Amino acid sequence: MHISNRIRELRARFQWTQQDLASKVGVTRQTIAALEKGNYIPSLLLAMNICLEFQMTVEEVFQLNGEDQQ
Amino acid sequence: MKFRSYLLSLTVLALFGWVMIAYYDSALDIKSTFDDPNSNGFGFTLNVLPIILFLIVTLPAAVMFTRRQRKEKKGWKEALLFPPEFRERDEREKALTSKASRNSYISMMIVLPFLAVCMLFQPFVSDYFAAYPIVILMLFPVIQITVFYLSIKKRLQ
Repeated sequence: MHISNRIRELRARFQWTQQDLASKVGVTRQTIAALEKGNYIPSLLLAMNICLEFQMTVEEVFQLNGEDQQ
Repeated sequence: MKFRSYLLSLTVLALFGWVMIAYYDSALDIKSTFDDPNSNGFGFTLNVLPIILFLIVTLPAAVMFTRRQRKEKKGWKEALLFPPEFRERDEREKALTSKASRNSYISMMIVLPFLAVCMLFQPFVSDYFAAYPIVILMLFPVIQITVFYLSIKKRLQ
């Protein structure tokens, strides 16, 4: 089971660079890059901050994938 | 932790070990002077090359790191004593550091008995290389830093 996200797609839609989003949510650009690649699962706080910037719900940005998914 | 920082840490540790070996040899000299009843005066030799090299490498590095930390509005205590590899900028870097620290701690638990066994050879080695225990002791931080660096590197790939 893993968590995927639409950050890259949404960022492109908003025409934000990785650095733009990183500055808005208070992390480094490398963290945004790691999130987009799926190498890092964010904390609930960071995930909600990202959703807040995109003005979307958590479910719209992050999806739980895997065998045990309900 | 960058490779440059890792290399600098290893260099400083190696030079520090060399300095300690030089002091150890001097301490043996002093002891032999005390033990010799026919000795007329007090004298010992000290290899100053490692001490000079240690100062040449560490002083500029210490000044550079401290100035950099001070520019980042860190207090003197933090700038002087806080290891630069623990300067995390966000939660992902904190997670990386915590995993690397965990691996480093586990590696110590594994390495400790092996290094303790290495100390058993001290009576055989001491005739040829008196400062053998210092080398064994210096292996602790070297292994710790190496595991920390490799853990960070692995997770960043």
